[in-house]
Amino acid sequence: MTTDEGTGYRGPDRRRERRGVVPLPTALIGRTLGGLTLVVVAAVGWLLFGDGGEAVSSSTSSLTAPVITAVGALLTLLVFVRALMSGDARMLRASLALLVYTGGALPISLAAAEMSGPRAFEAASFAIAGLLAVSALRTPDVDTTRPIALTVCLAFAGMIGLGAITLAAGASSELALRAVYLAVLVAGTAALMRYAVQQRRGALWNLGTCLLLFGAAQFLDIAATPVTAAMCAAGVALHLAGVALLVHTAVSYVRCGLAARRRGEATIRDRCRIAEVAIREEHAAAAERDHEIRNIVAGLAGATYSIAQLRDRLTASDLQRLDRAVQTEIAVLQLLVSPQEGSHPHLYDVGTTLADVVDVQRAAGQRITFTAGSGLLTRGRPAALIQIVTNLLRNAATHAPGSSVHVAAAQEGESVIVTVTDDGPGLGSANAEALLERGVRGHDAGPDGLGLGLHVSSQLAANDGGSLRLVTSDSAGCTAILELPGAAAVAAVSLSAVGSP
Amino acid sequence: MTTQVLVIDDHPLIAETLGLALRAVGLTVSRCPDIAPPGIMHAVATTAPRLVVLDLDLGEGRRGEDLVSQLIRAGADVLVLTGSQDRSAIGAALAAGALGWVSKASPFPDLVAAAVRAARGEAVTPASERETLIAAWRQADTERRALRELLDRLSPREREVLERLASGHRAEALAREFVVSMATVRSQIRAILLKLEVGSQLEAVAVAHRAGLGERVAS
Repeated sequence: MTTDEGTGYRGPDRRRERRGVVPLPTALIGRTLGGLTLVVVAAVGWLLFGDGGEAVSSSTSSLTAPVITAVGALLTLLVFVRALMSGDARMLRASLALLVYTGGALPISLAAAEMSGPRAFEAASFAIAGLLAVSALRTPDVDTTRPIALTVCLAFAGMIGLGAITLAAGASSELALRAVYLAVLVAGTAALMRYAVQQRRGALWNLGTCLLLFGAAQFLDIAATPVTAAMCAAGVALHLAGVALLVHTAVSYVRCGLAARRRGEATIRDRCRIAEVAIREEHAAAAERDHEIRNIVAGLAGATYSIAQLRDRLTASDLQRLDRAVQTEIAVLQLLVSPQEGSHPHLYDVGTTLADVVDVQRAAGQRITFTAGSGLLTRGRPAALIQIVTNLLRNAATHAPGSSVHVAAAQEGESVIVTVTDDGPGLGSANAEALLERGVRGHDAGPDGLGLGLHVSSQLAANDGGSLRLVTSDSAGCTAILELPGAAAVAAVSLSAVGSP
Repeated sequence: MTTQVLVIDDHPLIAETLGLALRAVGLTVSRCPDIAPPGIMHAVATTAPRLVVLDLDLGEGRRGEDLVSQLIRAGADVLVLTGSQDRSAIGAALAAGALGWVSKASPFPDLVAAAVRAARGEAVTPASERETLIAAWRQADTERRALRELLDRLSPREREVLERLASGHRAEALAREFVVSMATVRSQIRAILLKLEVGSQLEAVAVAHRAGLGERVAS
């Protein structure tokens, strides 16, 4: 909600909120204590410098003025640098206004008090400080302050006009000029503070208060044309209170800046580490792929060797096993090369695709019964379904030779369920879930069992948003259940994907 | 008739073709139906092979080199078959007593010839190469041990934090998971860096990876 993202300073109450302390009373107590401290400082100034009224000719020419100038300028410089670092335009200009006041207007008015020349420089530096305070509002980032800025500009124009009239009238011109520009300073500061309070920006508020205190001190200085001790002392007191507030502001602002910087660095370090881990995982995945491909190449080399060198000695069952192993490796290779592809996912009819697979396997001599509902739509790759069901039918032929296999497809809720059931010996004690893992096979699997076939099938199903599980009954047989997302479910998912921003 | 050679490989084509080739030269060969360690030891106990041809990468993070000494105790010679470039893994298998190793990248006839020699109990890997590989494993093992000692300095919670850092979790996610403030997580991270004697999270993560920490979490 605030505009000083990145500067880190959101006022003392904000910081307490973040630490989880009940915000309001603490903030109130803090504010009250701060205000009391300022009053005490002002009172001390009054007591110290108010007694010797005759000794003090002007509030700014006393012992306190050089201190205020030096300390004020130094602290303001600190705030200025911090604002520069965080790129906070408003704080930059507000601190610049203070800098011009403490480092320019105050020393000049000190020097001017010693001699009786024209006080144009003094007036000018007051004016610049005031203008900067105003311009702090005119920085580009905020539209909400336009009414405030407009008010300030109008007030400013009005006061310039007033100053011109006073000058033309020729009545105590320097003093009038100074008074006009002081009014500008005060008006600018007041507007700044209003903005700061609206936006809950503590540092800006504090800086505005400093300007206001200094402005008030100067106003007293001007207003007391016959200089009285009380007026002088009040001016000193206000100046001291301003400097005290400046100390607090500078210290907390810089501290918050450093903390924000540390947090920022920690975030960057975090991101670097996460990127590094991502790269590492990418490397590991690439190494895994390389490894798989080397294995497949070695296997294919072995296959060509077997065919070329051992042709005469290979039995029919040898050839069958070789064929299965090659098919499995090709399926793995397909997954490796294009895990998400094979063909582009699209809407297709599960029933007709299954009918094709069943026809092919029937032609190869397998006894298959097949039932499927009509209009069973899913989104995915028919090639994946063909591969999965072919794998399942081959497995049934291997593990339950000669048995009849039943393939069925039906709509169930929002899913399309494909079942492949054989009446063979079942899974026995083997863990149905483990059978779907890569390279794990059932207890009765011969050397030609297809551990990878089931794993690959499971992966293929998952790639299309489906799942594959195996169920065995006590009586006999094994059922593979392939669940595919139904077209309705798919439509809902894609709609929600479109709907989300 | 007892089995002379047992082939253990998670890739069916290699196991199948190697089996065919070895049968062609008159050896009796069987394939291990299950490549999980208990299944392998069961197959070895039932078939009592003279030689086990063992793939070092059995998938799912199962490492062949960890099985070598068990297989030798069961009375089999071990020939390591690997497609990996990890020399220290080969060294580990040789140090555990494997007869030798052969790369899957070598021409298939060489692979068959190596298996035949190994089945006769002959050396497959020259002694000098053997020593080099074992030395590579020793060095990697020493480094790994040193890193593990470094990791042992961490408190259990710091270890958990490091594991999650090493698997790419955000510090914010850690704070949420352990129900602590970000400041606590940051100070834990600082403590980890101090104990591991490193200057940055990146180095700490590198140490964790080299020591093998967080592999399980990451997968």
